[in-house]
Amino acid sequence: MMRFLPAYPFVALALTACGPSASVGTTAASGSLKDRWEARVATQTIAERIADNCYGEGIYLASSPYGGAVNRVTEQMVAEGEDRAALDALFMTHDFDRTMAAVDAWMARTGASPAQPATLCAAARQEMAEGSPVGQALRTM
Amino acid sequence: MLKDEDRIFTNLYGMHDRTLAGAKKRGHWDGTAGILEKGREWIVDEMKASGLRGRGGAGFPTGLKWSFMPKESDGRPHYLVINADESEPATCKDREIMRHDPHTLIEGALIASFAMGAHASYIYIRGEYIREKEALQAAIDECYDAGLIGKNACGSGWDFDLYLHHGAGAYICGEETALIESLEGKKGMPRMKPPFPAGAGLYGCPTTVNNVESIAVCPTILRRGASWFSGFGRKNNSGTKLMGLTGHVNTPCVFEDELSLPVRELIEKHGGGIRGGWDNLKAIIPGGASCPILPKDKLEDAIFDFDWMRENRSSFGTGCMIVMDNSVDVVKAVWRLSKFFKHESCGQCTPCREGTGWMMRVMDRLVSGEAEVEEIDMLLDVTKQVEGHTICALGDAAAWPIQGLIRHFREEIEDRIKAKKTGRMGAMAAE
Repeated sequence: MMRFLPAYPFVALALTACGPSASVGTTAASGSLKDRWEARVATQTIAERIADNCYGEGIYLASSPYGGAVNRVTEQMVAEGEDRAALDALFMTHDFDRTMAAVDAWMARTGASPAQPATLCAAARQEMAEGSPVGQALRTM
Repeated sequence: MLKDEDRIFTNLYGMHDRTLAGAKKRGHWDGTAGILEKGREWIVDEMKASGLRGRGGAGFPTGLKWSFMPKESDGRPHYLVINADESEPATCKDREIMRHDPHTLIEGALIASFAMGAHASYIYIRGEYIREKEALQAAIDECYDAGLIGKNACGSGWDFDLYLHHGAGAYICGEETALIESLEGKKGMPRMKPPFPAGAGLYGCPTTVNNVESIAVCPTILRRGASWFSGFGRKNNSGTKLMGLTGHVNTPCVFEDELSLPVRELIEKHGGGIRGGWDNLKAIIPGGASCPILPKDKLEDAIFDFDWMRENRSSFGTGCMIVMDNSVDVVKAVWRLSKFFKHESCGQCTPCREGTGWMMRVMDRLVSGEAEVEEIDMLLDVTKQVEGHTICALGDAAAWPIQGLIRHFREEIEDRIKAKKTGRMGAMAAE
């Protein structure tokens, strides 16, 4: 299963034309702006979920000038040359249930659960070791 | 409406770059060394003249508090401790500073520490504030790297270290002496005063404990002048302030505006009005859970500042208001606060340890209507026995919401008891 492409911190999910139960496993690296933005927001949301549960083990979010998954991803993409107005429009129409579905799908795939932080932290360490997009959105300190 | 150029917090909603570069673009860290060059006395005098009152809830004049620190060291180090243990229900203003505008706090910490002769400062951040800790620590690291703090901070010749300490989620650790105990690695239980922290605080050394916002506003006050800041609000209620609106407003928010504006104007302007319109307002809790509740009839011409709230037997607190519309079971709402205070009592003082549980259990009976009418006065009497009879203010904080409830909503409580006795409980009370 190709989960990620290296240049973008994408979580593997296919959001296009999918409902909240979007299947996890395909990348949106070369997809539309909408697909790429949604995938990166989901990646960042997963990282936040991990950091909220694993700070006791020294796992935190990677530093950024911006807070919040949407804000952080949007500003990153603007810095990469994307059109801010288009990204803002995506935000205005985005169904965040789809993001949550993608997060849940990642949890199910990795066997991680916020109810059992140890599983989440183990999955996070694995992601960081692999240098995956989720791993790149985290740091240890 | 406060003009944009008069806002101290220019990245309150995190829409701009929160790094050092971003903060500098917005005017922070501008001429900090020059401020330090003016000397400790000038800084303290200017803060006194600004009329800034502590933003953590008690409203004690900040400049005056700073002046209590010894002018010369007797050999013991001085400390500034910044209280970021923001745990009051409904209060989430300091969090916005720490996660979106952290450099205001760090610059303020340097200036305030210098003014009090402290070479070290500790920020005690609430245990649940994970994102905020990340943002703040990243900002502190940037400042060390840029030479703004550390040895010869800002090239001023003053050595200054700033430490971020993560709490473990206890409300009581927001009380300044409990915070100091916790920082020392002990159980977070308040100390008897005197000695006050300015005489013997952290590790027995002269210490000042200030709220995050109180420290974060000081660089801008010193840059723009005390008279600029004191030009906002009524006398003795100076300045701009971060305030919050939660509950049944259309647009809950944290915002910066000047003090002494009408409550109604703030709710309409920043909160988008009450859900269902102004007439659907039932009551507010002005500044956090410990402030006595105020009913709508008191709020038509209410002014949102320290003195008006005190004159009307409530408290301005942190300025973060809980708004309740007519759908609220106000007895149950206050019961929930009682439960909170019972849970958070450290148990050190008998009146608080026993009283908070006792008050909650009577409130249980008032909610269900199973009490006797006489128990209302009995409960009021118990609140008076708790209030003022504990080491810290948690006992007072537990007593005041109940006192406010009985003062303004006694009829509602009595009606419920009578309805229960006659078997005519309303749907709300029966929930």
